Amino acid sequence: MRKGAAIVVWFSVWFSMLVLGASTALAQAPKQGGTLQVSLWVEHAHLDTRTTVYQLSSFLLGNIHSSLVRLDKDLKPTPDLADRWEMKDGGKTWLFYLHPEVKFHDGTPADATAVKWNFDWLINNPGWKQPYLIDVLAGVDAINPTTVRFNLKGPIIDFDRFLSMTGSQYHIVSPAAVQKYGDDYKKHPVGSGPFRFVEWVSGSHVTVERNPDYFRKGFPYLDKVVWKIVTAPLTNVTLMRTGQLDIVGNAPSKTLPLLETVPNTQVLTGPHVRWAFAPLNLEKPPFNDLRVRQAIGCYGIDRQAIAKIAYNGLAKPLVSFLAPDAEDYVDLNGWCPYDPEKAKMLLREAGVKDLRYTLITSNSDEVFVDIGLAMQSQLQKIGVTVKFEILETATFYGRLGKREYEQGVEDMLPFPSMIGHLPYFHPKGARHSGWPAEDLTPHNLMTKWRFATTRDEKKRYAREYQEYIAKNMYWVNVTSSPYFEGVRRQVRDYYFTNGLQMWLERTWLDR
Amino acid sequence: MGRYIVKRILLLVPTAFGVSVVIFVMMRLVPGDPITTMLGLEYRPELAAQLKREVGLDQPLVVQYGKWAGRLLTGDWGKSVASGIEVRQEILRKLPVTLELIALAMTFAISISVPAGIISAVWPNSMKDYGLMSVAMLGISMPEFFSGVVLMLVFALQLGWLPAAGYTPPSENLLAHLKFMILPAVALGFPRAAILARLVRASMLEVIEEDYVKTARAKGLSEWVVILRHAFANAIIPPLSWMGLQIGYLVGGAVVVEIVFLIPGIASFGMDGIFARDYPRVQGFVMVITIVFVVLNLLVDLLYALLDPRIRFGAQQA
Repeated sequence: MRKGAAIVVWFSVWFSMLVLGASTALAQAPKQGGTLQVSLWVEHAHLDTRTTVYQLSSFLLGNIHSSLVRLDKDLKPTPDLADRWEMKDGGKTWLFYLHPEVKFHDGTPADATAVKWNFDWLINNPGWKQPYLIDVLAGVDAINPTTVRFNLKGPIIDFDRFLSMTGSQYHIVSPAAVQKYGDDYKKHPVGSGPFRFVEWVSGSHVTVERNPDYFRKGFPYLDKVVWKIVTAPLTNVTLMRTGQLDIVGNAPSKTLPLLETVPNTQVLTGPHVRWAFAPLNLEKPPFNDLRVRQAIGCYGIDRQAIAKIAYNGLAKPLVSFLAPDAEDYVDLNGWCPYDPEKAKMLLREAGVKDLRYTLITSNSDEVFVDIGLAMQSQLQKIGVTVKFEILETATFYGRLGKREYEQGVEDMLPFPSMIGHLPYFHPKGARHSGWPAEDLTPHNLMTKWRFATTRDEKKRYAREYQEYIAKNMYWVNVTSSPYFEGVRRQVRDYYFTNGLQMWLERTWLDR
Repeated sequence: MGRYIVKRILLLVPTAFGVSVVIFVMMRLVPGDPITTMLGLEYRPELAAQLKREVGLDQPLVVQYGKWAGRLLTGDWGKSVASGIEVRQEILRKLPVTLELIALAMTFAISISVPAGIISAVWPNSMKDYGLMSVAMLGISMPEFFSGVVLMLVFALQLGWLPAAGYTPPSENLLAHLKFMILPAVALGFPRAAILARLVRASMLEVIEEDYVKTARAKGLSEWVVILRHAFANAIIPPLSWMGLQIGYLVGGAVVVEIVFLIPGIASFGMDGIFARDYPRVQGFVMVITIVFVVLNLLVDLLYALLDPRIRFGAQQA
């Protein structure tokens, strides 16, 4: 009797485990089909990935196009169109081996010739992001249909990382489609990515559908992705609640308490790789005086307090010119402790009395208002009267671009390493403040960093770069700017890359 | 009547010219420009200059205006600076959406305000009157974005009866289309309904005391025939005139409603153009709204003349 009972118990346990294991395995097996709905908080100007200026366009366009390499979940380069790659000659030559017989969505080959065409186009049509590419790239060769060779002017040991990280420009477009559509290509993107373009209804949405001829068989799982243009944060939250959105990207920190109450939704965040800053216009006296910059940007503001006020207390104080969780970040917060007395002394030494100026920001995010108001009240304590103006976004950028401002508050795109600085802080790149044009030291340090042949060397130059900028207070960094996404729980295998990309190749819907 | 219509249509020409000059100049006076806005933090003087040359923004203003106005007359409304999309194509696609939204909003407004105004006027200072006019005050006080969000929360989130936001073209699915349009139409129409109810009430109260109404009663007609056929027919004229003037406000309200409810109409198209400083987009949008405004006002005036014989006879006698 006892033996019989034991056998029954044993079989019951074994059978339960079998059923549980099988059902779990079935539940986790990706499901084919479904339409994913994602919000875009700003409408892109157009869909030509080579010249689009919005970082978030890479979210959408990164699913229509392939790149040679892209980022994985750990923000490391991972194969995309290139199956593997090799560094040669200490980093002066890079070979990328492409998947064979890949086709663009229009049926033309996505081969080495097409890759070469794309990079030749970038070099010969310099837009704002190209100067640093032209600096390093001697040429691109198509060795054979599946091998591309990049010849660099100097050794770059992380060129693969460079290609994976610098936004949407290195997506590979179909040369035939560009030739066919001409200027209209902006409305007809053609890549070789997991999804192909269906339609763009301006002001409403962009739809992409599964690419049945995608070179990685079995992917993608989704039938369609609809990118809805939703500019109002509250509408985003509402649509999550009603099930009309599955992913909300770049959720403002103010909406987090609401987003967290949406059933079956998780809020994702990651390492702090972007930051809020308050650049001073060095072309306007007295900000050309280092002592004044140190008074205002170093000792006169309490970064700890601002970090508590802004971003629901989730930000970190920041002095350095890299975000706290970026590669090669150096913690320089100790260089700028909050010290109002020292700030006052510096202003006296500089002969500045009753300083008054205007701090501007845009109305694009309430957090800038929090930061601006906090700075205003802190600077009052050191005898500086700040008039704080909240401008409409276009007006704000107009003033920044033409340098018609004294100090501004903004946040920077995600830069997981110094690579992200290249387009913006190259002498011929875009920068709306920063160091005096005649001071080439930061650029020289960045160049040394780029061509450093060992990791330790890179670390050293990164440190020097950050210390130089902080010592001269060329850039007033305030806090990190954490990135948040709201994602419904039925969205599975979603590659969260902290605002850098939104690659949906492996994503599936569990419903 | 025919001469009157032709005269009104001809007046459209100087109106359109005046508006075109005003909007052209105003957009260039507003801080920012399409290139600077498009580039944002990625602004670089050389690149900005190059892009301005490509789209002709480096030319003198008089030349820019002349080219734009000249092309406008040939039906070319230009291309969006940022996207390169043809403005005319976008306007023709989006205008019907907004017109439909406005029409639905006015239909809603009229269908609830007219009965409400009549009831309030027939039973003045009663509980019905106070109740209806209190609701009207609420409607007047609530801006569209607030009423839109409240409607969304109640009917979409809490009750789940209607979708929160979005749009399906009627050609794709008529039922889904109507479901998407109900909340935006109500949000846009509610403030108008409120004002219209008060206008109808006031107008009815005035007319009900007129001698001809008393005469109609004295003749033994039923009360509702007196109210609707005799009193209301005359009382509706001032509110009707007011409705014509509402077109501009409705477009303004439509901007907010389209953004909140994600309706891809021309109002939000124009608004986005303003934020982006996209000159061709904004200029095209304003010109279209001007034409729509003038034509709709003409139609309201003609309707007014049809309803009021005194106006018709006045024209004939003249």
